[in-house]
Amino acid sequence: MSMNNDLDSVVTQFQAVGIFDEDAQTVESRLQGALKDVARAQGVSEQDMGVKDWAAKRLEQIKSAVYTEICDPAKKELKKDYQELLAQGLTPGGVKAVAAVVMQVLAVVNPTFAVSSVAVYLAIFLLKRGLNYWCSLPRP
Amino acid sequence: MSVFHLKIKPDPTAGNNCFTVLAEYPVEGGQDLDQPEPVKFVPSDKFTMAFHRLHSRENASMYPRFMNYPTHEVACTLIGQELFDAFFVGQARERYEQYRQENKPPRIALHLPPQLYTYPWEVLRDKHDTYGQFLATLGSVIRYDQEVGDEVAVQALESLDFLFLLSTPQDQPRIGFLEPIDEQVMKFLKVKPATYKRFLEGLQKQHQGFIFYGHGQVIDESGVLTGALIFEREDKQYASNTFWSDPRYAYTIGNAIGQAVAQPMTAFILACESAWVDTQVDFDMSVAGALLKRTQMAFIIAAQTPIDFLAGQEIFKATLRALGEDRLPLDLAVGQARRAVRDNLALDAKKEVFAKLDWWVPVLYARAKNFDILPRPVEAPVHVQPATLTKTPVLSQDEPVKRPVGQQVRGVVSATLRMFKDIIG
Repeated sequence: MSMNNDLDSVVTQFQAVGIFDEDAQTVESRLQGALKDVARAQGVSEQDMGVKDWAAKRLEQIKSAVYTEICDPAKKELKKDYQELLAQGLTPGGVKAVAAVVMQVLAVVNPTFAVSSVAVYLAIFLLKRGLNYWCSLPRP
Repeated sequence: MSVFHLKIKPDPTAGNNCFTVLAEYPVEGGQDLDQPEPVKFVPSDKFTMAFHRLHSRENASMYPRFMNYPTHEVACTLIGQELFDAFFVGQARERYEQYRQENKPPRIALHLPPQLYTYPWEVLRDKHDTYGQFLATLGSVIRYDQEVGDEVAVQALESLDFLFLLSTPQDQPRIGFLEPIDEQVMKFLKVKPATYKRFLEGLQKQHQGFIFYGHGQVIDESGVLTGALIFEREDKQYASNTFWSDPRYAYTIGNAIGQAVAQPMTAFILACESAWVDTQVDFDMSVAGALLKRTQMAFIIAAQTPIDFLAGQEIFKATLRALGEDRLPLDLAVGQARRAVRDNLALDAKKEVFAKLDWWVPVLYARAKNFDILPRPVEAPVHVQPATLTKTPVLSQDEPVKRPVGQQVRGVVSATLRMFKDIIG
């Protein structure tokens, strides 16, 4: 598997193949799939993954970390520093901006998954859900 | 019920990506011998994108896999129509259209040069057919390897004996359990455990075919990518026998079969990438390619990409059901199995959505022109059954199939034919 760590090219490619137009649930499924793909590429076999909801658990951990970074739980909205993420919406620029933040979080929390495709899928998912809306929900 | 043959040959004198095509189907009033038609095929950007995504099994790559049937179908349609429009041209196209008027279902045989093997010919589509129909699901698409030797003669037999191997080493991902049950016209010698040694022992006895259900892979053998099948290796150190992977290269398997006293007629390889070929893998190094080159087998059914195991199971069961119950020729049996995968696996979206997408993955390579491996019932027209009771019309042949002289016809297969017991792991 060839993993491209260039956010620009991944965003462009995903827009070209229609990922931007897919529903949030499908994007989340892709995100879980991408986590498994990355793990496999790192040499983790499927049998090491234990129960079949391994990817779902990893995803929840990643979401929790991203939530902690960008959301203000008291105000139930994006932190002031990240309000600018709202500016571009679900556009290539907007996706790239959110993905860049996700990549920074992944690099700290679990560098294994600091892969462009993972960050871009999560960015698209969050933008489809709505960033402020997502921050108004309880932390994952 | 004839087969339409299209012979495609490279034409290096005309430049890169240039070929000639020649159809074999006599047309009333037409010339006895057509001139080859020149073809240049340079896939479009959309074709290339769709092709890579069709082959993708991952989301973390630059070509994310398809997640649902409708988008997958769009890609298959694009690829299939572009291939059809490129190669069915001129006189070949005229003969094809005449063939379609006179024959149902369509049975399309493609004699391919190696540089075209990588394309998914099983999604070949005539845009004049209704949307959602592909030639391989309406009838059949058969591949002939141009570089293989002489044609093999095939005669229908009263019954078929198969060597059956289910290989599930514990260091491989789990697959569903599948064990065929002997029936009137098909019997299965189960090789247990599915070790390579027992496989060789099984080859010493006369069988009309062998079936391998398990894992395959492409291995980098000192820089050369080589197909392999994963047999079981018995580990007797523990109180309960355990089995680990024992990969055997394609050429090893091919040589073993090639030197058997009585070579089987058919191979049914339900293992990932057993017919895989791309720009880096020589077809002869794949399992299907090695069997074609190194044996006298008439038919090989294999997987051109990794295949979902639910799809593999359904293909396997539906093909044998179509052979044993419906008495279809082998190519149409595979076509009916494709429809079964595409149409029947619709219940559990989580488990089966990917299985449905794999209807095109099995590939039928042939070096014989007679696909009747079991005798058809006397005076019975050939019905190509839809996989489910849908609005798909039943296609029937106008004339009954004539039996070869001297061949006895056995009784009709039991209406309650039950081929398999499945215990899904």
